[in-house]
Amino acid sequence: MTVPPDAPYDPNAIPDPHRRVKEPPMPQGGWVTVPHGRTQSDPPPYEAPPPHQGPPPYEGPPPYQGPPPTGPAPAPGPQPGPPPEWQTQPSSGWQPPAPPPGTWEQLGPPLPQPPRSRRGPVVAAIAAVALIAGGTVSYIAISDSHSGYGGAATPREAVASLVSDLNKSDLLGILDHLPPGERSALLDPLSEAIDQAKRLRVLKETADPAAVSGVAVTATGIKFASSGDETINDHVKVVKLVGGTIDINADLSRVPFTEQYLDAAFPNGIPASASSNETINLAKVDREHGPVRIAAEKVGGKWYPSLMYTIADNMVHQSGDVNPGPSDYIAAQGAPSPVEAVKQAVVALENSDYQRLIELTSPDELRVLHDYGGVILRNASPAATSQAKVKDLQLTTHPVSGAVRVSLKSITVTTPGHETTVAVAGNCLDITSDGNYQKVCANEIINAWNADPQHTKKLTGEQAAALSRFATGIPQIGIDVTATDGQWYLSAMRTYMDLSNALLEPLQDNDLLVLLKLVTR
Amino acid sequence: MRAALVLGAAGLVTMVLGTFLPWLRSGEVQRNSYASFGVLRRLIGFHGAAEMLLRGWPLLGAVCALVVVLAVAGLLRVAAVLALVVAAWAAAVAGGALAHQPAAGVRVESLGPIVTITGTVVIAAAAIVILISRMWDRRASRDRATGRAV
Repeated sequence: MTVPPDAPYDPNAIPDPHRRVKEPPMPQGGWVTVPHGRTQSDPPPYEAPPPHQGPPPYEGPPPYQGPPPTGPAPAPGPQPGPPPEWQTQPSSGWQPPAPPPGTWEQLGPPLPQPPRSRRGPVVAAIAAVALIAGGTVSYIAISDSHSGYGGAATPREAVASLVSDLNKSDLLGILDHLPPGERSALLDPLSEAIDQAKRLRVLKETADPAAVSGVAVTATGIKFASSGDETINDHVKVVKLVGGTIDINADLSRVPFTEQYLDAAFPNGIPASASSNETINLAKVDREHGPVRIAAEKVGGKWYPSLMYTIADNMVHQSGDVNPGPSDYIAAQGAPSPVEAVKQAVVALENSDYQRLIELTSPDELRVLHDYGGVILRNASPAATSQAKVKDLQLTTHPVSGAVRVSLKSITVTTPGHETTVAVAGNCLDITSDGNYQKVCANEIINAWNADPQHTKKLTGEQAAALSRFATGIPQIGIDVTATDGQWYLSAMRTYMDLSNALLEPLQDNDLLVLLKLVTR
Repeated sequence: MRAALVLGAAGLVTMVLGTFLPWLRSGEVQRNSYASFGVLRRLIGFHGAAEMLLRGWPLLGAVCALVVVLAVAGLLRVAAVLALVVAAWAAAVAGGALAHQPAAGVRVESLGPIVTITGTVVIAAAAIVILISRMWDRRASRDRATGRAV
């Protein structure tokens, strides 16, 4: 397009065919050719108005809202009358005159107002609030789920925290204070034992559990020794209590035993000695016997009051021995399999090799045995020489909660001139002694009982059935073995705790109560 | 529909609130659901279905927030289905806790589980109303589209 460089711009000039514009003389060099676009101050190029389809995009005056047209609707196409003054030009130097009011008529349907929805911001706000609230709730929830004891920064803090939970009778909190290894070894079998007791009608199902232990311990005014804690090694310290009182209220009648159990266990009623109330004055104990010593173990950088170390430390001090030193440490050395661990333990027992026994004990559960190994060996009595030798030992394994239980399959023991083999065969024992075979089952024990003239009362059918089922649990007895770093170790605490569970497992309903009556009659 | 949405939101709040009320008493100490499951996990552990249900329990609040976000974003059916799943999850945990027998000085406090279950019932009712309502709307739209009288 070629235009004079400074021609006055009249947007109405071109569309008006009746208006003539006086063209300026052509300058020297001709007209300036604008290759592309326009300058910012230039008016837009004129484009012929599109076929009329409604009002032009004029946004200056408000749409005409006057009286509706009464005549016939105007035909589409160019409008008669003065040409429309098109939209406002972007030029800063030129402003179109405001259209006279009333000259613009709204044609066609009214312009739809663009929807200005407020839904978007509201949705975003609600979503943001929900996410923040959900995140906060989850953060608090995760914090709460980790809000247990989890160890203390110092041994004293560990003991003080334990005392606090003792005073609140918070059994979960007390157990949570144990070092993880002890906790696992004690609680798995304990939990199972409680379930067994309820199943066998020893404990009430709906008893008030707040007093299930029958023991309430309250500590007040606990004072720690000003001399500080005693260091045993890099992960064990002993906290000394020199003041305050501990009230221990034990009452067997508060344990939620069933009436049937109490009748069976105490046919003459619960004895008066079954309840006691004792107050221990720690200052007095300190003056007479020295401070009360509670050992704390460091696990994972945190301190836990340790039941095992406390027992070991008190035994050492009561015997007048000295604390173990680094040379007393016996390193853990397990076996490649559960069966091999038990076999090596049997050989060690046979040879009175206590060091090997300590090596084979679980370092997670009984680290204390390894730390006090030298002390134990020094105080161990030399075992009497046994002439019995294990000639053959066959074992079987099955998984139990958190461990593998190794049970007897068969064992052959020789003594000078004799050889005896005992093999487990289902619920019976096959016993071969010097070539003589005998099968021992529960029924034979029952028959022998009934045939014994000293037993005036014969076993009832119910008692015989309970005894028979009890006998089936005997082959289930075994030694629990756990793995640490790929090696298998004996789990002594767990084995002890699981012993009753193995025996009680085959019993049903009130079998245990029947057996108790049989024993106490 | 709006009433169902409000009802569902109230159910979510009630359910989450219930999880922070007492669930377990040990001696004189009460613990909410998160602290209870945390200490029980450390002490005795969970196995099987209980472990499956409790593994992500602390994230219950975040899942509820997701339900709200989906609902306000207009994905009502997805939100309703997720709300039903959350309600079933929380109801299973709370019901399981209530059914648990007391043992060893520890007993379940009924306040927390009952409030939680109340919340889940409200959520479920709201979610079902929303789902049915959406289903009717969809059927009506289809009928209109095919020219049938509604």
